[in-house]
Amino acid sequence: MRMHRYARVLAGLFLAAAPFGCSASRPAVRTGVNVTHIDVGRSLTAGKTIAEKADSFRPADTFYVSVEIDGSGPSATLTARWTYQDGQVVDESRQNITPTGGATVTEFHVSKPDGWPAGGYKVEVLLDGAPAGSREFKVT
Amino acid sequence: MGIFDGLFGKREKPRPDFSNVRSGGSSTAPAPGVGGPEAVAPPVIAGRTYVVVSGDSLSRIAKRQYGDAQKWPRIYEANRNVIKDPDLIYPGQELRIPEA
Repeated sequence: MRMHRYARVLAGLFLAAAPFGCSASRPAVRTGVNVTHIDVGRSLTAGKTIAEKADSFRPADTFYVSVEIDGSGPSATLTARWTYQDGQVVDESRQNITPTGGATVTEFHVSKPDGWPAGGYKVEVLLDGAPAGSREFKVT
Repeated sequence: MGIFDGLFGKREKPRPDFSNVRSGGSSTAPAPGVGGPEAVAPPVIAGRTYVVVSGDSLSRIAKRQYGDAQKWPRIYEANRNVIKDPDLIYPGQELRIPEA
């Protein structure tokens, strides 16, 4: 009898704590729209995917990032934030789109007329302000 | 002093200048309000959004986006609803950048 009472108390504590445990370990999932693919390269195809993937660039190159999303919704905002190795924000651009239900591709690009300084770079992609992935590359 | 600084002092490497970076983008997905892929003539003015970062000014943004700082009034006119004073823009502010 005493065992049963302890078991009930333990079970109650477990059930009370369970929702917190689940919410803490569950990854944040957006309903409707998700980023499925991010590529970086030097050129684009007509479908806005990367034609030539790269993780090493020359100073005169244009950097392209192609972001594939899947799902549908009234609107979504994609952000590409390019940063240099010292933390400087090189550029930050946004595009507001209407995901149509299938896979759609959005590209961002940056160029620098006098050439990119050598070093490490990163592009972070955000979906509605939430980090959705990043890619690192270098200029040599 | 200067000599010793030169000989023994730690010289800081100048930070690269990214003020003339040009950026752009496009998507296979329609912009909100434009309609589906079958929409023919979008009624909205083409352009995109730029997020102001620390140190920005309209002329600096114009230089980066158009390659010409003198084109800052174009950005100002497109954002009169959010910019009250062209000399005052704030980090995090979203500006519409009209096509060049």
